[in-house]
Amino acid sequence: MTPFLEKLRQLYPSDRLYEDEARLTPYVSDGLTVFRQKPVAVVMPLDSDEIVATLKLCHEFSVPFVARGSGTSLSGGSLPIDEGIVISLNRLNQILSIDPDNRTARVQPGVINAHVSSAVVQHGLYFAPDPSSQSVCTIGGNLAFNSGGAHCLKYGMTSNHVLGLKVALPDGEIVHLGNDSLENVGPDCVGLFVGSEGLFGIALEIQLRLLPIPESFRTILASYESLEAAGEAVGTVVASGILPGAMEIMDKLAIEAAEAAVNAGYPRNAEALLIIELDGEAAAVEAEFTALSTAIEQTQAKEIRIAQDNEERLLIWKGRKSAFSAVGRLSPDYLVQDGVVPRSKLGEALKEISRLGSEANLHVANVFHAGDGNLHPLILFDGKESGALERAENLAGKILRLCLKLGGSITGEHGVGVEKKSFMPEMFSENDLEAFKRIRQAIDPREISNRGKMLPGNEAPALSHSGPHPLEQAGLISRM
Amino acid sequence: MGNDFKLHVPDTISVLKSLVRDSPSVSIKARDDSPSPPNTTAITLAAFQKIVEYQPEEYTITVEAGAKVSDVISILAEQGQYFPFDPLFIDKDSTIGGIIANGYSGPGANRYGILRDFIIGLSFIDGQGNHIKTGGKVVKNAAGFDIPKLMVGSRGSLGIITESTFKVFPLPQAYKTILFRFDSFEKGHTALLALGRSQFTLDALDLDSKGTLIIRLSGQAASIDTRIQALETMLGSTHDPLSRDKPFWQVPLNLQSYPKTGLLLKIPNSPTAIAEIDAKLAPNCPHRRYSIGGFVSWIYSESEVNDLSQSLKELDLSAQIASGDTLEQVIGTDHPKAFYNRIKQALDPQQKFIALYPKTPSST
Repeated sequence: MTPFLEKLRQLYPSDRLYEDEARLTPYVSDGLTVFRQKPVAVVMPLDSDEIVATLKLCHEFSVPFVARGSGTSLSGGSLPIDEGIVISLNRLNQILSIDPDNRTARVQPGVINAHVSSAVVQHGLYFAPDPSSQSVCTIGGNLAFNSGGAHCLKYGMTSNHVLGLKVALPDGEIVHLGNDSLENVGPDCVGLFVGSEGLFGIALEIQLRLLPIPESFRTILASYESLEAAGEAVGTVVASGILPGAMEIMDKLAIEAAEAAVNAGYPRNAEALLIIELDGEAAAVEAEFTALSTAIEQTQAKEIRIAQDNEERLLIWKGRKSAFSAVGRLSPDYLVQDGVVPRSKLGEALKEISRLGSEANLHVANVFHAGDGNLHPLILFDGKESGALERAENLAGKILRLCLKLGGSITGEHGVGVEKKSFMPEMFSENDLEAFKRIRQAIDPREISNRGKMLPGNEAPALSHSGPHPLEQAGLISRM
Repeated sequence: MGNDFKLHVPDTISVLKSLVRDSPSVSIKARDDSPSPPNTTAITLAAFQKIVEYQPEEYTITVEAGAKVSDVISILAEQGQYFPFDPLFIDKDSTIGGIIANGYSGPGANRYGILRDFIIGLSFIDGQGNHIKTGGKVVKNAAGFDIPKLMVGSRGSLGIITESTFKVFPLPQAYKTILFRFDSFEKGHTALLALGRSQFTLDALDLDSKGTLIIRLSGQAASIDTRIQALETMLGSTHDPLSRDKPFWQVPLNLQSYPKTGLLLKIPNSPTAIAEIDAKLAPNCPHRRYSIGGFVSWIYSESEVNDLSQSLKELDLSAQIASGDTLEQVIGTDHPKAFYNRIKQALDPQQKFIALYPKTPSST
């Protein structure tokens, strides 16, 4: 390691190369704090040339690396690697260009998700992917993990909003993928790169697709006597042929916690709350709203509220997006999963999660993207209690297996990372995983780029109880 | 192809796997009239036409790659659903595997995205005869490499697609297609750019080489006339309705079936680049259509492939040959293929499938 570090010191001044315990400590975990690993060093490149030089060094000495933005990964995706370095991309935070006529923005990987939309709002445009951590998470991380948000059914995930990439492969070779168009000539290599969890190198420049801000929104809150009734209401809306921008469900625990935290005006006596939002041209939204109201009237809603103005709408979303950290405050620790089930199996899945929770003697809160069957069971536990973390992990595993049994996926938007890689053989066959490995080795023969993530093989580091992430304690991020 | 030409019709995955394992070179014969490289084992997936799974309430459908696109569209329509990427060239031979391998999305993709935005699962046979399943069957999934997207536009060069799952959407209650005629191409192009940035959520937004905008709206029937009035106010001109029996993508370039002669090119580009493309290609290309909000150009020409390729190089653009009597797949600017070549090496190490970029030496 010493010759490698000596060369690294030639590349970086000491204020951008951390090797001492004190400065390495903030990097030992990401949003999934139960895993911790100290890196050998953290470097903070200022430009693409420094990144490429760093990758060439890592390649030469076979030193593994992980690229990291704000470290909000919920799957341990940006966890450091044993005997490896962290390449922090926060200083590459420039929006390089904005092209309103072509509805694109070219950005560096360290740009914060929400900053893209604020930079283009003057042109009437926005960047659609809206993970709950959007005020701190970076585009590079969104790209690596194909982040989602509340609007995926209609608008897709990060992958659907990336047109072109300039990438440094793990050996330092620079390649250009995609172009300025929505379309491609030849295979969609951008599509393959997005969501590859950092296993294919580092994106240096990212051409994002922007959308015009919808002219009009209609946001409806409907409360129900049970989670199941709310789930059935989603089915009724879907069957009516309307395509809402978002459909979200919160359970009683989440509603109460969100109310206590931000006073969103949710009905407090409800067992479940359904939020539905329509967006688009004003005339189209009004016509859809009439059809949606008819559909909702057929469900067993206890109460229906409609946001009267944009302020009320934003408050509804504030409550929704803060729900997780709000519930988290009710408990010393929590774990969150993001498995997906077919929408028609939502009721069955929720009932079984509740049963499994009781069996494990753990509380589980539910806030989820109902439109696309993306669950977010929040398992509450006290890490100081002996065996509680293991019980919570065990329950989380059972929930993932339940999602697979019902025909779904182990992850909708958080990615596999370290956390779920042992479940990959339950979702994919040996043949499928072998193909993933061949592709990985063709791009990164030394397997240095984010080694130990997504693909099963190397053991994950041991679990440890470490409490919430500092950013989470500060209320800056939430786990969804 | 000589007299000894034989078209293989495997009826199980294991026969298909053996064909790939035992042949030095394999190609999928999609249409009777498509040219086939010499000395290859030609295969049709005519025996793979099943609808594997379709639950309308899930907004997903899983079909075998040999299924006819027109059949799948009918099955979806019976349940009030559709492919929002608006597949093209849906003649009697068009298959699901074919539209994925070619990446054909139509004007209607303007609203919600192209084919790659709606493919969520895919199974394929790689160059070593392994049957590989990737992606999933739920609308949201982030597990594993996104090989379903990689296969879009791969033209059979990375594997034989056997089955695919798509996200589908509810069919809008009503459609209306209208034209806005401008007195110059430039004015039409300016209007296209303005509409692209506007809050109008247009199903289709195309421009022809005469400066006519071809617009399709969809949604609740009650709202469409009001929305058209708003469009007229913005554009400062009145629309011409397009009659129902003349589907709008036949004007002026027919994108529903392949032309019998000549070359049809698909060029991905940025909407602002259209002005330069039109000026450059007009002399040699009689039919030009700018589609999907101006992000794709469809160009018909009777010129030589090499001449067109040269013109595209001067524009720094590449094109996919959609149809024409040539074995060339991609022409124009020859971008480095280092990433693609590494993937090709991983999935087809013995180069059994077609070479997408025959003139590019491997960089690895």
